Amino acid sequence: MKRIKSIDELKSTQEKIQKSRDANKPCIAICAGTGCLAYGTQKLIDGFKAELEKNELTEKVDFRTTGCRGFCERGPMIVIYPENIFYQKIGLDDVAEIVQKTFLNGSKEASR
Amino acid sequence: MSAHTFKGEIIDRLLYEDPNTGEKIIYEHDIPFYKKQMRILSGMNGFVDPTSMEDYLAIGGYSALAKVLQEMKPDDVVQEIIKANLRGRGGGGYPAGRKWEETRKAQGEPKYVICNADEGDPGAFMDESLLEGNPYLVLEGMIIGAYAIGSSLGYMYVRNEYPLALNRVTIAIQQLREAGLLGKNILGSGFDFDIIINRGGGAFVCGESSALFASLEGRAGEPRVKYIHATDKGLWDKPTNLNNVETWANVPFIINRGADWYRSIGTENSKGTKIFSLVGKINNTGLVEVPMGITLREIVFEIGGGIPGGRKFKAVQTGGPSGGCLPAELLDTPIDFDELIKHGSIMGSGGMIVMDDQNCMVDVARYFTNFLEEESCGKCVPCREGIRRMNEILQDICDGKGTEEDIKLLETMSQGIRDGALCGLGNTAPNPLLSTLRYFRDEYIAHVRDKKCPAGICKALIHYSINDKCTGCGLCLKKCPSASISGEKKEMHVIDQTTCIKCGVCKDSCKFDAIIVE
Repeated sequence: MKRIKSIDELKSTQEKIQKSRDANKPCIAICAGTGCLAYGTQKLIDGFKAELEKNELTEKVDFRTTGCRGFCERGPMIVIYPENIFYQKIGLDDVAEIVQKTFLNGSKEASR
Repeated sequence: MSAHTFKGEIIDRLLYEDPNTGEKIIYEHDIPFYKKQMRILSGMNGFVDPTSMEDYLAIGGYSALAKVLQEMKPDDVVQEIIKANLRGRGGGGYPAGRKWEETRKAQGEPKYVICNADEGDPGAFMDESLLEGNPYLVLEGMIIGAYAIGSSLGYMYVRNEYPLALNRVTIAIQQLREAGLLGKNILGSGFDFDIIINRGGGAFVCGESSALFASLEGRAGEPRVKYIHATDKGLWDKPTNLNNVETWANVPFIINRGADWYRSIGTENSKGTKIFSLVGKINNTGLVEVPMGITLREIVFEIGGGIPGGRKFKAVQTGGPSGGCLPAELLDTPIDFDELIKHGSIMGSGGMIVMDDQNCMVDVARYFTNFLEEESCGKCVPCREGIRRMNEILQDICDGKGTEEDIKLLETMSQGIRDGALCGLGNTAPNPLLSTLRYFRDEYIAHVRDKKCPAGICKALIHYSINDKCTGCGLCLKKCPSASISGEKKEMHVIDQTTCIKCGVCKDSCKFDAIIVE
């Protein structure tokens, strides 16, 4: 990041970043704390990135690796924003289905 | 949440299923584990990539620093922290604001601020998760503290067993330097401050302040007497303010939202939230952040989801090796610094180990005493020799060689160690023993008088046998690693006591509840 020279500049930097981000843009946040990494989360991170790319979704969907979410018992886990959908104990086999059903079955209503 | 706009399809099998109701839960905020928590510090983790300073800025990161540099004098900052009554999250619960004030007023230059990330309690990992998940938050707290105290150099003391935390805090510090938030003339304010990372060498005692200073200075990590305060003469004998990771992480919130907001959370003398690492015999293992004053029952049974297999709750061990065990009678006690001390335990850094009826409390005391014996630095006699002897006696009791006199001797020794040890770790070393004696004396008596271990843990005091529920299925016979089980198919089996190694595999594998431990 460029050197921020004043407090005003810090505030404008914050605002610029906030403006460039859409709170309603879909995002997959994957827990990558020590616990989840021990469950093999790195493979899932690579898997999600590849799957989003394959489906040309990298522009439409953000992907974020985060710190610990606390619920180590249920890892590996992801949260899909903005809905806040929580998926737990996911495996590499689930990655393609998550991307498909969450972002590509756009016309379908939620099956609830 | 904008659930109604979601046009995708929910994948049922990946949802969390409430083990008590069988209900599948879609949203994170509806899951019982999260519902009762107040995730002020840890909740940011979900929105920040730990290597992206932009993410932290996007959620308002460094606003507290900006506010402090623009609107507040150093004294105002100290007063705000005092008013908030933020107490140290590392163990003793000393008021952080008072420590800041003492360091600020102390004679001598330079002054140092240190972040203690030498988290060493068995089963505790809350500081790791904060540093690893959001190093920017911890660093923001430190920069604000340095400004308030008048320090231009800080140290981050991280245990070497936390490679990921080390890696991420190293990246974050580098980014902050590039962005002008660390180094000379921070944000053009004229305030200079930088942070040096130091890796710990793996000694438990180095989490103790004066031992940590010794370690930072390149000497063996041994504590010193406490009549000299670190705030006057700490690192290199200069005024030093040491707080732990979680304490620092609270600071930006207090500045942003004000001391009055902070004081609205918690109990009379313990404000804010506390992160506990909930481990042991509990369904939902993990880190939980809760307001001070929440009851043990809420933590264990609502957030933690209760005990696996529907077994009976026996105790919670809090505060690590310096803490103690709280029994079922205290499940409705509000958890804060003072209540825990009142009941013979401590808050410590926030470890919480849940135990059920299959945990032997004498064995628990032995485990922690053994841990402390190994981790004693050896500088003072009460700790070096006292804990070793205590451990030997506890081992004897577990081996069936203890007497009722031994229990009395342990109590006398505890008093001596408590009064005579040099540092806090030695002073509190008898706590695991004393608190289990206080609440589970009958278990000690069973060990020494009846030579029995009620929980069925101490191997010298138990034996395995098979009752008439046995169907002769042969599963235990097949699984027994010492080939001590014999019997014809469909007939009751027998365990050979002379060769049985008491591993418990037969009991774990039996489907008919036919193995008894006595």
